[in-house]
Amino acid sequence: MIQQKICLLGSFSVGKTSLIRRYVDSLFTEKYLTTVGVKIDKKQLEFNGKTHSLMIWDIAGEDDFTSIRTAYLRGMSGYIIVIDPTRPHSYETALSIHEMVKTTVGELPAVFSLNKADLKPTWQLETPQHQHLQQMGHPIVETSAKQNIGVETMFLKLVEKLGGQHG
Amino acid sequence: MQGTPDISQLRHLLFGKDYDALLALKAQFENSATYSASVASVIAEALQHREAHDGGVSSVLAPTVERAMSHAISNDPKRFADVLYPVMGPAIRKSIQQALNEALENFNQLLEQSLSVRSWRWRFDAWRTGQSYAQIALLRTLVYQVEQVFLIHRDTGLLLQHVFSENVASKDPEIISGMLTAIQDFIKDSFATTGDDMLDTLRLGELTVLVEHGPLAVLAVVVRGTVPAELRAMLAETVENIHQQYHQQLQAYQGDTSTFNSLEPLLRDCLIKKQKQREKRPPWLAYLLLATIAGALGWWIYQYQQAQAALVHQRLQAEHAQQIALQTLGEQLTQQQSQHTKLQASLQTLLDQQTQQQQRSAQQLTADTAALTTLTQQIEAANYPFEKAKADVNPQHPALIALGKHISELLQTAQRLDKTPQIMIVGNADDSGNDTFNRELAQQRADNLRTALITSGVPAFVLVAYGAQYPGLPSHLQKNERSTHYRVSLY
Repeated sequence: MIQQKICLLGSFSVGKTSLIRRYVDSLFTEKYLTTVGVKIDKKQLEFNGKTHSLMIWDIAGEDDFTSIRTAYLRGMSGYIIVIDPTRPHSYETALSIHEMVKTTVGELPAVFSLNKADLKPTWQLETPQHQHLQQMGHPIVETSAKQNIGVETMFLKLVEKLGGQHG
Repeated sequence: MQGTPDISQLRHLLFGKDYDALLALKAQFENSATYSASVASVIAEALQHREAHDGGVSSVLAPTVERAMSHAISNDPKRFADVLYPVMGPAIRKSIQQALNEALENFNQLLEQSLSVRSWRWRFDAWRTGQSYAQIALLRTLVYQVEQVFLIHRDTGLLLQHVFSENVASKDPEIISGMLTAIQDFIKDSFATTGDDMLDTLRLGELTVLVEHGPLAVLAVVVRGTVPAELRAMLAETVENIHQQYHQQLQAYQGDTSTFNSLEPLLRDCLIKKQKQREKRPPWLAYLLLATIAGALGWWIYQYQQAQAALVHQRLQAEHAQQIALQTLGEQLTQQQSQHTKLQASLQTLLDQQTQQQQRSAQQLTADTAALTTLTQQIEAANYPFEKAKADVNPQHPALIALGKHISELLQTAQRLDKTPQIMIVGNADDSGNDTFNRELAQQRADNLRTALITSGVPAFVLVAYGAQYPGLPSHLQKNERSTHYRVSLY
């Protein structure tokens, strides 16, 4: 069994906790829990005949007033950055988080999640921004915790990249 | 084998004495007696050697020995019984004694658990907190117990190995180890000023989490109860040990936990616990109960015996009373019998008396009847001689006195015979004179005589006086003489 630590990062109220809840317990709660520090969940899955045990660290969102505790990132194998396209500011935060991680921890497998796919008509993500994301070379997954869209795929993409890394 | 003499000679030339030795050796192997003798001289040492080498002798011999023993036992069990007797006897006794002691101890424990105030308090606590009684009992008697041990990879916060003691509910240790690391980082980030300070103790009620940091791995133990000082030292030693043995693996850790499975015994050594030393008390409760039962039994037997004795006593009394009653009845019977005898005797006497009376009265009657006849004859034969033409009566006349006496006797006798006599006095006159005078004279004479008799004491009602001419009189009384005649009638 391979144990791996992954982190969920992103701005406040982009839906990180909801995504984890959907993934771990397959249960969605409308009540948004503002995570103050960190919350850890576990998910086991099979990939390439190996059992992976993901320790998912749900790390409190970053905004203008609080920054991510970089200590939580230590030892992680990969990360998911969640963006709420209905709020363009979360895109910028995502980029800054990505930069921060690269400088503090180094180059690691990452996945970008465009959450709230159920509200896609209200997305405000511009095409150049989308292109910029794609140019970074990380998988981009459209997700909706509410409608359970792309959640499994998002985690699987990351595991795929992790597996490739450990090959 | 020997070949031709030439070849034999050639052999001798080539091998010399060695060939003889070879032949001797060959002979030794071929001759079973010499061969077994030579093996016998070394077989014990050989077995010893092999046994010391790899213990193969035991496993090879075991089935043979087993078969030999079962064969011997089935052939002659008594011999084995005799051999084992001195061993088995004490062993069985000891075993029985131990079993009894254990049973008593268990019984006492059971009583204590079900009867003592403390156990009821624990039961209440268990009910209140929703835990099982066993858990509560364990917690209450515990000084401390290391419930869980986490070995955590320091950098990733991933769980390398986890052990926990029995009766402990362990929730997702991977998540806990992650959270422990996160909290560690959180505290360090938030409060620590110097770089090397680490969170090493967490407390929550009765639970204490001790965290021992190594350069590559962290050992966290969850302790319930009062943490002893030596535990910390033991943790530090364990962490050092782990780092010594697994330094490389820890450095190269990429998520494969199976590398650290061999650490489990080392971590399990940390699962120590200390319970309150229960002073070894004699099982009073069990003794008490047994004594109570014995007492109750004794009391019951005593009561039963008492009841039996009372019953016997009652029976005796009843028998006695019956005997007395019987005796009384007997006496009464005797009395009645004697009374009966007496009555019979008196009846007999009475009967006798009656008979006698009857006899006497019969005799009397006969005598009276005879006397009556005699007296009647005497009276009827009596005669009073009147003087001529006279009717005077001399009361002193012996004939009259005798007549009076006879009449009195007659009266008495007739009375005894319950008869009333009547004496008819008939006066007569001779035929001298005229008839009228004679008639009157006769009447006078009868009357006078009657008067004289009455005067002498004869009751008047007995006497009737008639003159001879009175009509209806019997003729034999009518005489032609100067006399009176008497006729006695009894009614």
